[in-house]
Amino acid sequence: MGKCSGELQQERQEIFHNLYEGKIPKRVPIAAWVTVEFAIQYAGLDILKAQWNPGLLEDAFRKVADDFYSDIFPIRDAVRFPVFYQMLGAKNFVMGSNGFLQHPEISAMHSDEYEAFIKSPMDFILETILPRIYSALDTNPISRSLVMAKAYKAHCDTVGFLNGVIIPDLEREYGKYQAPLQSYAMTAVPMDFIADQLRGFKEISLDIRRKPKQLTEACEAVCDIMLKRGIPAHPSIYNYTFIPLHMPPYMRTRDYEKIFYPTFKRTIDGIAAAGGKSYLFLEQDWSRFLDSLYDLPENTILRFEYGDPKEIKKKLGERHIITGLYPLGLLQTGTKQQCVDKAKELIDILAPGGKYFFDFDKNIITVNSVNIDNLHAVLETYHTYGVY
Amino acid sequence: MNSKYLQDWEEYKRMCEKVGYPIQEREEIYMKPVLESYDMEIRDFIITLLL
Repeated sequence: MGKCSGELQQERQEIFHNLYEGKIPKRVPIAAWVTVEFAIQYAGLDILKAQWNPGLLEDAFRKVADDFYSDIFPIRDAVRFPVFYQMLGAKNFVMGSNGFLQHPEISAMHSDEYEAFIKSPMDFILETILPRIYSALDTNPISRSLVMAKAYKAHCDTVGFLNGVIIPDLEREYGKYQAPLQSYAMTAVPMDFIADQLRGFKEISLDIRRKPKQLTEACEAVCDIMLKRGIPAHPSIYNYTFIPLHMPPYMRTRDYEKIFYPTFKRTIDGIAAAGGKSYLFLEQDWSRFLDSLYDLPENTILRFEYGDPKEIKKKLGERHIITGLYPLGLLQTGTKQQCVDKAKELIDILAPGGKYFFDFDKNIITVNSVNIDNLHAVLETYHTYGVY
Repeated sequence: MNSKYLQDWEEYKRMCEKVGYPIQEREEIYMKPVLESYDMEIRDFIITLLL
């Protein structure tokens, strides 16, 4: 199931190219993937030890690629490792006793600091936010530089090594879809950036009501920084910039339209103008915002967690590329037949006309969260039933 | 951009070049290529830490 013929590799290139060009491919592309934590567990490694030893991960990745069908290499999200967060004394990502990095609620920017942030966001991030979030940087200049150098080296040795060397090598070896080099990026849209790391969910929820003007100006101020982070070295329509989206389901529609949407759209438009495209992970339920998504650049990838597949296909299916929606929870609670039926139901609704590829509604993080036999059955169904 | 952080990097780099700060031998963390390209990469890294 893992390694494949040159013919299948060629087919994978063609179906993804067709998908990204807005053409109907030969079959529904399957982008089934799991997290690094799942791969570690599935391979029987110690999750605490393995995250500190990236050299151990290649075999774990191979085990997943050997056992599960996917047209892409089935490991993604190799972006967070405890080594550099610990070196930095991180408060925003802390290793839990269960071996999973936790993202505690933090509020590194105070409510009376919007003016300073708006005046010069990058300087404010460097001077004020970093030492508050990363306690090891809150020291004298030379020590601070050494800490930053160590952390950056550790980042290169983990995230850079896995995503820049190991995974591309395995993509070639296993004949998976290969996107153009250096065509991937990840960013956040301005208001999510401010909410996630600077103000925190509780405080931003107050700001939306009490400081809408300053919050809007802050989004404007940081927009270019987030856009720049979202443009890869070599933008391409055959790959994407990954952007998880967080706040809108927790906002009133009028606040979304006034505060969130303008700089959100400008970021996505900017990535498209640079020659790339965005992959938006629409976390929670975006049903209220479907019409606004229509106006994003054509062939934006929209991965839905919740929503009515028929309504989504009707409103957005001709303009954008749809994915997600397959309920991961069903793999744990449903029978094999129920899982297969759900796969066929989604293919029947979302595949006609193209612009659809398979992914789950959520990320598979732990081995215990899915019935592995059901997972195999769903992937097999997409492979055999999802043919045009 | 006049941040002390980025000035510190310049200062650190100059110090390494000038006095041969023996980090490389001791801890293998003095990566000259990284320092030479830090203008772009460190800024990206800083934002990455906040994603």
